[in-house]
Amino acid sequence: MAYQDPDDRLEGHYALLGTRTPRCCVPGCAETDPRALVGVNPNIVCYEHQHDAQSRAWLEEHHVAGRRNDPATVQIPGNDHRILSDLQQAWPRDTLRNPNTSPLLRAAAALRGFLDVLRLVIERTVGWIPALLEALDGWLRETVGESWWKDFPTAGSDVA
Amino acid sequence: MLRELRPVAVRAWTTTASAKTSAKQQRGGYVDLGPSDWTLTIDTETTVDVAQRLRFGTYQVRYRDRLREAGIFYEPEALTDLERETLTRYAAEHGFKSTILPQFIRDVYLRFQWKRRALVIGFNLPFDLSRIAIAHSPARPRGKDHSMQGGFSFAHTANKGDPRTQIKKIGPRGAFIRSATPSGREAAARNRARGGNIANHRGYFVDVATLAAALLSKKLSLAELAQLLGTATKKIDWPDHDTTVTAEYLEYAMNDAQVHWECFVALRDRYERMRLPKPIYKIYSEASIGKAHLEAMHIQPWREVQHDAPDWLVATLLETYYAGRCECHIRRLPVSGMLLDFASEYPTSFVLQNLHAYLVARGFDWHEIDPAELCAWIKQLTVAELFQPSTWKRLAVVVLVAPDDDLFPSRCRFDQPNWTLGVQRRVGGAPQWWTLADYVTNWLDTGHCAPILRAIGFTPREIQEHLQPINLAGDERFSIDPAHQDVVKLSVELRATMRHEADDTLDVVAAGILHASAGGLKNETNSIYGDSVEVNVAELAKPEPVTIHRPDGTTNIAETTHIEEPGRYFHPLLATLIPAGGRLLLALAMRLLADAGGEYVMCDTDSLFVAATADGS
Repeated sequence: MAYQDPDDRLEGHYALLGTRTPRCCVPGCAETDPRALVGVNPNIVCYEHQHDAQSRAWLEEHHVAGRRNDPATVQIPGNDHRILSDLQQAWPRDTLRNPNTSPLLRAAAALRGFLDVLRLVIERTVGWIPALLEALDGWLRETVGESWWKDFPTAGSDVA
Repeated sequence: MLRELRPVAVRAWTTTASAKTSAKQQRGGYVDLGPSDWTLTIDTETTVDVAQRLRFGTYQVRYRDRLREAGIFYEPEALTDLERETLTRYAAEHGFKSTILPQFIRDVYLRFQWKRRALVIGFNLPFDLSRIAIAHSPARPRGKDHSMQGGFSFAHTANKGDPRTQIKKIGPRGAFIRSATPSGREAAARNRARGGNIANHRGYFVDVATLAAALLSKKLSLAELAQLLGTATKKIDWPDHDTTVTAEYLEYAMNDAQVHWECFVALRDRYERMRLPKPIYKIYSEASIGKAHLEAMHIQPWREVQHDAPDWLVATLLETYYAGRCECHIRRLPVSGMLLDFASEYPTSFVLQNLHAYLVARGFDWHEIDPAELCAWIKQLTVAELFQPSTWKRLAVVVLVAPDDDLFPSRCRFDQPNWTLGVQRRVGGAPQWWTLADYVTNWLDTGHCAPILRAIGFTPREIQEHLQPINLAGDERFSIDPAHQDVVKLSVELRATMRHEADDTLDVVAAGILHASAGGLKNETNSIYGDSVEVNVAELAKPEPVTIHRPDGTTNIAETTHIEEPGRYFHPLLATLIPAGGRLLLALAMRLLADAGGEYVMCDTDSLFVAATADGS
């Protein structure tokens, strides 16, 4: 039984921000994840820029396995911390809270925390590329033609 | 000649304090967050008795159109042990979920409809939603929002923190459906507390039957709609719903949910091609699509661009307002003959009077006209001149007339409780305002120029800024620039093109859709008239004072439980001139018939049933 459904929480974030396409309004900032944003549309900023404005550190201590399972922390950027904390809300309630300090649940929490970090790293580093490729393909089909790659100078590669 | 003393009624212009607040709220407006990428398609099967109690239902959950979950929910007490066993076994064998109704409500309906803001899809959705309710009551107004009063409120759980569903029927083809805001603080309220402007979550519902009627101008059964749209899955014919739940019956029900979805996708694709700004879940009729076209062209409503029109002037215009002329001329006698029908009578009236100039203008100016000059012009008018478009462009005038044995539209109670319209021979009584078109109609009929006491003419102001060209109905061949082209004229031309293409094509499905779309376009075009005269009535629990404005500038206060709020595209000048032009076109047809020695049996707005002569010619 999930503690709180992440998709349900996502809708709450959008409603709170007041838009389905939120973005940090600080010039040059590309943060669009609703879990890492605060304020209301159009005055939305990310946690890191909010911390900057408040002269607070942009790095935060994250309990990878959850505070109840392991006091050990790692330093991560504030925006990523918000997303990882939100992902923890999708863990089974007992795993996150571990009321009886079960070593198995502690191990499960460590694994879940590691997987969440892994997922975040993947999403943050290459997660944006598929959508870009799909959009670019659509644009090429519209502007060049349905088989745009036929005239593409592939230089001997097997792209086409 | 029989003379009767009868009271006449005219259309009044009223204002209220609450109505003005509402208009202000509409302008200020909260922003709708819109639905998420989730959809929930539901269908229910019920008993066939009067109670129509839920037996079981089917559902599909999709994310970005991909099926994520499908299942069957059921009312345990409405099924036998054997039926329940059949249902759960069928679900397990086919990989569907099976749940009892309360569990479906909690884990599927409220989870997706409410928490995830999914678009809820069904065919005759109000019926399905009412079947998954555990209680109902009359929908109550909330503050100054009376829009759902007269409808029903359905509870799906006993928990007051869960949203109820409000449903109000608005016509034979559609209903307003929305979620009532439950107790507790929703995210939208927290957004507003932080300075945001998000509207309360009202849910997102699409009744495929309503959407199809709006887009195709036809009320179709699910089987007919699937046939017309050429969906991959067709509805299975199931003759008897008063039957035991079997695997075949469940197969039929699961197939139905799929047909609902495919019909929705086909209609959504058609609507998206139109590139209209109105979201699909706000389409209730052809009029909704007509308004969406106006919004897409950035045509601002008259009430938002002209704030200096005095109430007495609006009252004057509304006093001249009448709908189509409908009468029976020869009664209780079998008569053979022919029905003549105008093609696009109201659009013709609109185009002839150049009313597009008023539609896209920043309002209109008004000026006094010398009655003597006007009378002199009318007295030299001939039937031939009334066939000249230039004559029609001078008809944007209203006149105050003291009728003296003249024929004018009159709203009376003719031996029945309702006020109905008749073109009556009027003598005496207080002077009354009519349109110049009705005055000319009287001239055609009687050859008499009734005394005009006052005349007011109208001219359009400058064209609105920021008007946007669009493709009519998404068709690139009919790109229209509202600043320079008449939208109604082009709509009629597009409709004619669609009908010709439908007649020429050998593809039966394409021809059916083209014919249906042409019908839809006709209603969308006519909706410009409907929008201009739209007045929504709110029924109040307690009477409220309203100010009744008169053309002479005087007012009086009355109390009523029925408050009228003009629609967004309300335009009193268009509202009265379009049908008045229609009545003049009909009068011209009558005159031509009379000049040819003919006789009409009956007429109705844009049609005339002409009696045949004795030799049948």
